[in-house]
Amino acid sequence: CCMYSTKQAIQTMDHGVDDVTTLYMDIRAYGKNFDAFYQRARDEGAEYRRGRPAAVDTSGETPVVRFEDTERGELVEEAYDMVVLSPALIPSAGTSALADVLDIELDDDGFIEATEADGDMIQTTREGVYAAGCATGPKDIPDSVAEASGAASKALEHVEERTWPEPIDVEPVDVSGEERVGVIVCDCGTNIADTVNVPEVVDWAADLPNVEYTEEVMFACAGNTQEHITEMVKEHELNRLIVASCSPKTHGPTFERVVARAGLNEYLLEMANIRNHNSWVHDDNAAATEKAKDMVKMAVDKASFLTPLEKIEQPIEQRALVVGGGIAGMTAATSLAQQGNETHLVEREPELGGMLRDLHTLHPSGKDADALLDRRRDELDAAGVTVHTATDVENVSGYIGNFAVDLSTGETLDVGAIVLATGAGLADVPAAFADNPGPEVITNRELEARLADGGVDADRVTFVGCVGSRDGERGCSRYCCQSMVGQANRLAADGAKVNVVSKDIRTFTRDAEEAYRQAAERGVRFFRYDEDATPEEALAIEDDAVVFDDVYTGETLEVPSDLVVLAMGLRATGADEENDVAQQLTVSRDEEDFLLERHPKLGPAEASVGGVFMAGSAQSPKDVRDATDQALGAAAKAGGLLAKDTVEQEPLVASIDPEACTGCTRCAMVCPYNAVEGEVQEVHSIIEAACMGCGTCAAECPTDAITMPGFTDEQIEAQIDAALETNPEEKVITFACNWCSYAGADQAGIEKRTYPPGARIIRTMCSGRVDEDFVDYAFEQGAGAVLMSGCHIGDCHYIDANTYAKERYERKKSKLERDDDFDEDRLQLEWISAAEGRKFADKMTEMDDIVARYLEESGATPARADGSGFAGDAAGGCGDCGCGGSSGDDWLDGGPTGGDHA
Amino acid sequence: MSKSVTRLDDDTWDQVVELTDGAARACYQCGTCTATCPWGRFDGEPLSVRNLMRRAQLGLDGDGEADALYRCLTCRACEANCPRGVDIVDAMLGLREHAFEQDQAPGRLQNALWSVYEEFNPWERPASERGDWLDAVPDDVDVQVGGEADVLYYVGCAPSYDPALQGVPVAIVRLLDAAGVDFAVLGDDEVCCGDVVKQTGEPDFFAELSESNAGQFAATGASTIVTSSPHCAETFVEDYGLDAGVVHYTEFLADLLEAGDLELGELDRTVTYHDPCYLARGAGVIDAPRRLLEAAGVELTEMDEHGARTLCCGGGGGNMWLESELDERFADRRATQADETGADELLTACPYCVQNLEDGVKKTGTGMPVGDLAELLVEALDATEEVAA
Repeated sequence: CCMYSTKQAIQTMDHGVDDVTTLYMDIRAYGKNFDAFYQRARDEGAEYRRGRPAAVDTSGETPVVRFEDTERGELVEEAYDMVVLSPALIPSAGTSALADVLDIELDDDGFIEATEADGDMIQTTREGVYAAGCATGPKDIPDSVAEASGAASKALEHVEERTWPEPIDVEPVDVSGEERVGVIVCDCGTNIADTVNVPEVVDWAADLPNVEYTEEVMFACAGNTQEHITEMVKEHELNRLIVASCSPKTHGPTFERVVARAGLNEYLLEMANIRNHNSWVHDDNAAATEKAKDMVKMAVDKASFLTPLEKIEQPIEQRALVVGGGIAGMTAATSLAQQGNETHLVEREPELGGMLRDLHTLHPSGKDADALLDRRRDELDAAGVTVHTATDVENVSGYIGNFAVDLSTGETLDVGAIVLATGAGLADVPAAFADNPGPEVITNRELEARLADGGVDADRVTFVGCVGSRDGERGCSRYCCQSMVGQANRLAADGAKVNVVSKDIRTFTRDAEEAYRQAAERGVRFFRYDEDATPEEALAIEDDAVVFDDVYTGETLEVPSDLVVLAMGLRATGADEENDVAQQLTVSRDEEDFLLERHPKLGPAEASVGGVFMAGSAQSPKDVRDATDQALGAAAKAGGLLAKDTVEQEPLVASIDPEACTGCTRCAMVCPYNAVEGEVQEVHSIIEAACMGCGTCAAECPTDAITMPGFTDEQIEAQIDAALETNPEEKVITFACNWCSYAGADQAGIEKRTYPPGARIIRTMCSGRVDEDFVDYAFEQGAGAVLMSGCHIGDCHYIDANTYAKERYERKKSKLERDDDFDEDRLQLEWISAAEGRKFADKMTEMDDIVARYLEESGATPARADGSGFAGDAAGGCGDCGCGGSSGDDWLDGGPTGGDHA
Repeated sequence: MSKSVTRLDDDTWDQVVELTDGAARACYQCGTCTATCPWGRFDGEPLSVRNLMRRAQLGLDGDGEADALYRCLTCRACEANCPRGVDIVDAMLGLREHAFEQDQAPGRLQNALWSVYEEFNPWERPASERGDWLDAVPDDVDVQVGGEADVLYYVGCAPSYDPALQGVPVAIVRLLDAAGVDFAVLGDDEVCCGDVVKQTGEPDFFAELSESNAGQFAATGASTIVTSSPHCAETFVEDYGLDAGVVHYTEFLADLLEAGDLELGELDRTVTYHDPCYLARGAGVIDAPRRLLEAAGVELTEMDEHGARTLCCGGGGGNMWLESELDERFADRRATQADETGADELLTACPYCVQNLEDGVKKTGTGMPVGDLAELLVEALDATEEVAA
């Protein structure tokens, strides 16, 4: 709930509400990037006040909330326009009945009980029945997704036979003849039809070159309408189809299936997004209708250059490699082997176990760490995993399905999938704590060793939380609160006087809150220090005491202590190593140097590099439960890849014309995936399996020798031509990358943010695809302005391909600056993420101002009757749009990372 | 760190934890208690219940906190809302014991305590006049003073001495008599239950008092003890460890009514009923007084805050003996709320509440009559007899 309400606080502010207050007791921002998201909400102006509401009085005009601000010790009675509750999650109705049917046990709260026998939260009390997500307790999306894959992995261990969906069996349409284009224009109920004059667009489209069939439909995506469109494609022998409706990002796959069922190659579909990019963001019906015509023509003209593409089949080496033999690596390897895959596990240390070897008791389960390790080792053996201990991975080459891995033993493994489970390390003890005149200071890990030896020789023990985590640069280390509470509980039970000095208490995992309460009831005293300070700033360890400002009392307290235990954060490892496996595999790292997952919610156990998966603390700090769940998830994903002997890849793969290639190597230098091979001065070629389709090579090539299917030079130029056919000087050619800016424009639509209608958006997979020639071409055709946009630096879907877009932009800009007759402001670059709908709308408003100025200075006459149609009513958010009515799903993804890669 | 540093002292901590029986340990400092506390409704200084719980957790000396500590009404509004189920009042009383040891208990309470020591009541009245209320009992009602009986009716200090309240025990004995209950009272030998001693934080004298009272009660052989005041009842239940059952008279009479032993006539009027905190929240007795009102045929119009949500009259936790500096007091507000119901009369079932609400009605000038439920019931009893006659 903490992150849910944080997201909603941000969204509320985005909708123009500037006074947003969140009441909380502990901010449990425990997941990857969650702390940064919480910080963002604070930076953007959300007020966080620590206190639990005692009453909400709804008898007056606006609700009045009573609470004590416990940081200031102030009783507050405040009126708000709206109060949003963050209620607890409880077991869903029917859980108990389902448990009866399945003959599995429930826990005390009515959630499905997990045995944690292997450390995971997936195994229920009955063999062969597995659980995932909130069935075993409240969870957020990333953990649920990882766990769900993990449950699939466990289930696959029981499945002997695999079946695959039948391919669509239809006669392929011959597309070699004349282009025969169909145009379907969707009303989307009233979503489009209320703003765009759809019949006018349909009539107009009928006269476009190559258009053989046009139709207005109420809901193109409705099941019977889909069937109807398939029939129309067949009946009118269409060989290109334009669907003018919504975003290809959400509905592309739907209409690809519609054309495929007609026997038409799915790459011959083109969509015009006249809803998100038009009807939802403009309120001038005439202008929106004209824009819709342009958008349809852009799609029709591009379609003439579309060619059928076939998915690429790559052979797969059906063998798996897991790098790292901690609990995550051992779990992933065991599961992969149990699914029937030949599996190798490489561990650098002479012994398996990783950080688990340093633990004594797992919290909050109370399970014995050594016993779990022994059990896991036995299962690893029994599953037949080949274990390489005291072994390093020296060199990795290859790509999905075909990696060659050189080990330090001299052996080379050919594998199809790699799971990175390389773990993490403990942060360093701050010098101020290490060298102090007072009591002994140890880490929580050293305490584990002492507890294993029977306990500590200290009557008064003080724990310090968040050492080396949550320091402004690093987020929460996730495992430490429950571990700290568990250790405190044990020492208190042994009779020590125990104190815990921390920021929030983030005992989020199942049963950890109960352990927190138990510790308090045993007499453990909890203190809170300033969340915006590091522990070494906030606390001093003196002669026989720890001294700090306690938030709860508002006093400086001196807590007598014989022993101080530091709850240490985890740090990423490997980033600075010479032969770092992740780097060799071109797997990106996040701001804290942990491995970057494909998508924080939808792909939490996969790298964005094909065939590479991740598990455990290498991706972000985790406890045994979370590491195990994610490892099983990674095993499911890797196992899914290895289950077939070939892998299908999107045919969006660059190709080099050997006739035109001069061997200049510039493409190889900009390829983020080392997917270009060839010697200098010789013809280069693309390794299909390694190419991810960003197209930056095509933009870089000085001889235009590289073709990027789906986004060829001629296709993009055809779109520019169509967009600029009438009144070009009023228009803004906007290049938007598929993952961030195009989605950001979609988001502006979802949020119903009105902006001027000059934008003509051209989608490319990556901003790196935007060739300087495209910019020149647009200006030559008379464009008023050109906007390049893409993911923020560091967020690129193709590692760093957007940095080349930046270079090209800067180069072009400096050329334009030297031209006195040209207003260089007409070319702009903006990074816009998928969540930044407002930023997109604001930028379009700014672009419209530039166009208006250009028109005025150049003396061109605006075509619009009132002559003032620019920028008028477009600034900022509309405030009262009540958006999301028909697009609930789009909101769900805007969690901690803002859904940048949605 | 420029502020003065407070060192946590292990011995004090041990001591406070022992005195509070660790009641505050589970508290996670959310502040719901402070925001619930009725003191926070007035313009003066709110009572930071959370801060007091923090002091109980840490074993911090009550320097400067004693005023706050003794302002607590022990009305349990906070406990009813506490998400961790902390026994806040237990913790408060433990802290008061600690404060008493440090000689920080308010002088007025200490005086009351001395009065109990010397005259067995906190009102500084002679012990020998305790049974004077019996003079007003009608001759046809036979009240056994002392000796053995099934039921012991414990009158309590305020109803014994306060002329405005003496009608309450008279009414109760008439009702018990009418229902044919075998009961006795202690007359001049009755001794204060010790609630005020406990509230002051004096454990030793309280232990002495409770032991001697318990002995006296046992000697009557009563299996049930009925009290006029919910405060006495709670003291007996919580701290005496009696074999006999203890009930407030409303519950006892409601049971008699149910059993058909008590019959009431119908009265034609509209009343509102103020739930005493100790009865409604402390003992959970909410229905019994309402059943009695219904049996008496009166129409009840409730104030918004009733039942478990009742608002304290301001008298609990020793506050009968303390002065509050507020322009407006709890009872004033309550009197206004009662007036807003349009009822003819404001009833309650606790001597402290009656005393405070009478003050409140006077101060606010609403003029609404205030009374104890028992007095209305005896009127209803008379109504039956009239019908019968």
